Amino acid sequence: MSNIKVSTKNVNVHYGTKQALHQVTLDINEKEVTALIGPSGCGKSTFLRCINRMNDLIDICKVDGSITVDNEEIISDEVDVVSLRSKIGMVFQKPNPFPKSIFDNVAYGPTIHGIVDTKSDLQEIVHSSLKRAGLLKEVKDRLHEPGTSLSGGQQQRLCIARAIAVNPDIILMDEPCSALDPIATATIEELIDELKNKYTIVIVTHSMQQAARVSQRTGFFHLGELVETGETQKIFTNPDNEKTQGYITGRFG
Amino acid sequence: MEQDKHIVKSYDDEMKEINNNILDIGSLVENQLKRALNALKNQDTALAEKVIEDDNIIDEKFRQLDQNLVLILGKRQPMAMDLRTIFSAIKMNKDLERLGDHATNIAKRTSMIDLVLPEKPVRDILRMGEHVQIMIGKVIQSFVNFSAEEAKAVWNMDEEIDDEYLGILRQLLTYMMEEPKRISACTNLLYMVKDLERVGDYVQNIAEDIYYAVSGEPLYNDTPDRQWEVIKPLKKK
Repeated sequence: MSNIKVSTKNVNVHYGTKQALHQVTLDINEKEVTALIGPSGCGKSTFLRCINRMNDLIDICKVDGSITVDNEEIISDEVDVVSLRSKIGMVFQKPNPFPKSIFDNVAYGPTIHGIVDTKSDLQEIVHSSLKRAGLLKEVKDRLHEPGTSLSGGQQQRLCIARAIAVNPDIILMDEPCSALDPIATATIEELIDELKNKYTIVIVTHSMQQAARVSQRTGFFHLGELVETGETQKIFTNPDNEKTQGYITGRFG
Repeated sequence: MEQDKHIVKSYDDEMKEINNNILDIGSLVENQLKRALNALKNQDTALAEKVIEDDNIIDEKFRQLDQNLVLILGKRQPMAMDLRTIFSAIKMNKDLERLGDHATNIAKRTSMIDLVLPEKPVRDILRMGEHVQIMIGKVIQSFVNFSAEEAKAVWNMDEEIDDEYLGILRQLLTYMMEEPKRISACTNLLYMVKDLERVGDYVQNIAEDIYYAVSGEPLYNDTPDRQWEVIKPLKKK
């Protein structure tokens, strides 16, 4: 039985007067990949952004309900959002390396969070993060070239290396492969497979096949509601809900 | 089968074509068995030879459907009910093709034997053949209706077929022991009744496939092979 890493209960999100999420209750298991699927505008990315309080950055966005990470409530003004986000890394749809060198992209997080004391410690973290992100071999001789000089797939792995450099527990991925070609996508999927041994991963994806390939559990969102959640194998072969069936078989969306 | 339509119309067309292919092969196989049994009934060698010849049509359709199924898997990457349907269709196609082979076997034996056949076992084989044909008709109907219940009902019918098989097996063994000069004719009938029994098993497999496609739940046959109940007592002590 897996431990529950993130637990959400009756989460509602409003953008102004528009309600984007309705009473979402979902448990996310530790060191597993949980995939969130659903048509555009169904609320899956909004939900993902609740987990690291990214929605705080949007003025009109209001989140209520309960979200716990390691049994600690995070929907509270008293929570230190910066420290929360150091525990929860995020990777976005479009690779977004800083306009800095490859080395500095990865070194940035550990430096500002004060994780390292010495230069050699920093070097060690940068190397190990790039290695875990499966990028070290390809970039070890050009660490001081700009991150933006890498290919799209490499840039995305650089962003993953940047996310894991601050030693998070959880990695949120918002359609991490949608801008990548199939080979770069396969590399990221292989990486996700490895990363799940150490991290809890939540991935939003538009590719049903990707969700089926990389995740152990899947949640299907529709019109702001979590319609169905369960083992990925079950969801993709024999879902309980007709809406899930209709969406994953390409009958509505 | 009736389901909501896919957004991509050509996907619907392809699924429909696969259904039609299955129905097509199903009805061809049903007809092959019917004609093979008629050939046996009337010792009609010409009809038997026609059945043997027509097996090629089934083999060709099997290959064509097999290709269509691989293509739809690659093109559409089906999920949930579509995935189960395609997966089941792959197995059903193979089972229908094998079923056709057994009908051909019956026709081959009919065309080869030039012997006086004992009436009673032939009558019983023909009756068993009618029951097997009913099973085939019903299993195809359960596919058309996409009904797990109907498929399960067909699945349960195989037990009666097995009973009939064991009864005829006993009968033939007795005939052979009592009158050794009938051994040759009875051996041919023995093969035919075995063919029919295998057809029943294939229909049962097809029923399992349909049940899974519709419900998502497996239907397993774990009953022991009962033919040994008949054969064991013949073993030398």
